[in-house]
Amino acid sequence: MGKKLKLVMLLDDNAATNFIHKKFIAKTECTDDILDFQSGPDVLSYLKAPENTLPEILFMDINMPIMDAWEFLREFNMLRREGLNDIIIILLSTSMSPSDNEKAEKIEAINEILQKPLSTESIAAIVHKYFP
Amino acid sequence: MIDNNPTSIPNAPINSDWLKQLPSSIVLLDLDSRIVDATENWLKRFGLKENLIKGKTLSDIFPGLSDDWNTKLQYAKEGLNDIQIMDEVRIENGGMKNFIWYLSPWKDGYGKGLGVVVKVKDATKTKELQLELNRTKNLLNEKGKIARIGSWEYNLQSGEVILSSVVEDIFGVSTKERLNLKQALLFYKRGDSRNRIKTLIEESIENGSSWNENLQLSDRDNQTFWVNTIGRPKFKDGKCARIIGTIQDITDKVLFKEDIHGDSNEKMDYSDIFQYSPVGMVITDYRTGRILDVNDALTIFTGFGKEELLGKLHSAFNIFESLGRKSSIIKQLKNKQSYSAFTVDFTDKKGKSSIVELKGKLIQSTENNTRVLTIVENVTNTKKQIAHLKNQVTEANANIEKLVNFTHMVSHNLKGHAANFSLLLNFLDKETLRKEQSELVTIMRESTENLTGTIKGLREIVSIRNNNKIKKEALVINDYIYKVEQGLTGIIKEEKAKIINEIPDHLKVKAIPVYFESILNNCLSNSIKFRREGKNPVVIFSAEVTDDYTILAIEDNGMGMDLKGNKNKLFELGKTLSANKESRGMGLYLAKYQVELMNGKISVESTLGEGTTFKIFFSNK
Repeated sequence: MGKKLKLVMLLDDNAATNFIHKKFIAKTECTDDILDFQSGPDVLSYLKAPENTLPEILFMDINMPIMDAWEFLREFNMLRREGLNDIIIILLSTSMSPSDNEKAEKIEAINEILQKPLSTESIAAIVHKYFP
Repeated sequence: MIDNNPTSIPNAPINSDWLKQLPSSIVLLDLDSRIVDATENWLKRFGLKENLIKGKTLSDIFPGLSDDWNTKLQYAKEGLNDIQIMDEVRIENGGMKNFIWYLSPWKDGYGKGLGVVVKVKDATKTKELQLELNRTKNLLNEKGKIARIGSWEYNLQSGEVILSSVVEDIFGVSTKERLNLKQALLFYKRGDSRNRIKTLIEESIENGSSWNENLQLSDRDNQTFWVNTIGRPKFKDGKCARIIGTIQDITDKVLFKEDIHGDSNEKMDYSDIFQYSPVGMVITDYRTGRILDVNDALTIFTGFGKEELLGKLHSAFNIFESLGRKSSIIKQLKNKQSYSAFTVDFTDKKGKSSIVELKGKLIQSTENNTRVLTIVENVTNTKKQIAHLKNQVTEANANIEKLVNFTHMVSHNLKGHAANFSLLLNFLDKETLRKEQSELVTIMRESTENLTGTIKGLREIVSIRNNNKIKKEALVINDYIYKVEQGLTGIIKEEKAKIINEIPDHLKVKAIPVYFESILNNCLSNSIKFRREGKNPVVIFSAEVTDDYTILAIEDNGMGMDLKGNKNKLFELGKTLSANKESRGMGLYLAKYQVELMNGKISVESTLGEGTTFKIFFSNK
């Protein structure tokens, strides 16, 4: 196990999914803290506030009713705050659609797309890859 | 060709007594036009002795005979009956006298030509006879002209070829110049025709064979002539001395019949099939583009009479007007002897327009007289049907795309739920703490409700897809509003919602009952669900009738929405503008889908924090 992270953030409209992912992340003991949100605007307002800690990794669902991942990233890219560029952003999808992959390749902020649900192995692999 | 009636002379016994005894004046000539025998009457009439005339020709005996005798004798040998010539000859007393000479073929019992029977009558007998003679002469001339038949002779000793004037005319030479065989053969078209005539002449000289064939002459003025050539060798002392024969111009026959009818040995008359075919057909000359023939179906379809079309250029006939593509047609005809179907707009004589399809092929009769057969078909209805089908296909494709999106959405949604359930159950299995267990159960219950809602919506969408053939009916709006209010009593009471209905009791919309109910239900429950914090929901129904639509407005005082750039998203499947847990992005998608299936539309106005108004346009048609 590499470095221990301070904060991992989850964004998914489905509460059950967040719950499950939280459990898995906790199991890997890779981070001190986990925060979960069910809508993009909530995450944006959290990140905007300078007093809030920035996460090292953000796991985010693609298809969400209020604001999907693409809309979120448009807004996210317009935020001005030191350290935002260092956040590792992982998109999550139930179906690996080619059009999603294409879209993701064009957006610099996205690090990769993973199938959901995550497992302890895939979480550990991500942490190991980006924070050796 | 020429009639073949045998004359009354039976198996001619040469020198037989019975011939001599005949009361008529008759002389028999062989195929070389030499005298075989004559009746006593004939000898007496001209004061001749039998032994002095045998083997001689008529012109030997009567030097003054006119030039056309040879031709007419030739006609008779070829089977033409009852040729009459009026000519004067020197008689016994030294004076000249006019006679009428009747020429007929002399044949044996098998119809084989032996020579010519020449019967002589006094020309002075009756005035009528003279007139008849003139008439016949004219007829004969005309027949000769029409038939364009002439004789020729090839003398092997002198090497000369002598042509009658008609043959000269057919060959296109005007001089009386004498030709040798080689020169004469040049009149035949190089290749098959010339080779064939050479062979025929050689065989004739060697074997004594005759011929009767149709061959082509060389082109003159870019025209090809077909001739029927007949030849027969004449032997003297066991050696071929001369070949005599006829040539008839049969170009018209070949082009107008044989080219369409194919092999001349198996003549079938297809002209009726052309004329009465149910499909319009035009025959045009390949080179000039002029119309040579049209059939009944075409004249009926175009409204133009045959006489209006014949001889016209393609372009004069407005079916062919759009032949800026003409060069491509000619190219196609050159390359593959046919051109592919294409369509043009056509206006008939009465001004009625339609779409016609043209396609055609070459009819190769002779190299330079090529025609094009074009089939003209009215495809207006077919085109309409195709256009209609294309629309349907486009619509179907759009539906398929919707369906694919829908399926994707469904599988995406359900897959997520399914994966969650199995994981949550896993956790529950392993969890020992009571508090943790109860938290898991709560999450699972929420997930179940969520899933149930999703499935309910999906089921409704699927049922729309199955029911899209249902007919619209005129529905009293208020009946349905009451019905929906009844169904939502629970939530209305719970939220203390107030519903104001400004719609007149009689007002109707044209809609599909199930959809109308579903739309009202979705809109009303939305208005109540998305109420403003701390305010009792108020929903106002009103209506407006325009020429095209009956517009139903549903106004609320709810939380409202920021529609900037989000108007479409509002009606998308799986999207929502609110963070409300009850919104699954399905209700308005459904409402829009149902409204559009009824040829209507839906619009929305909203201000965040003030309220929302949905307007539903029901088509009056």
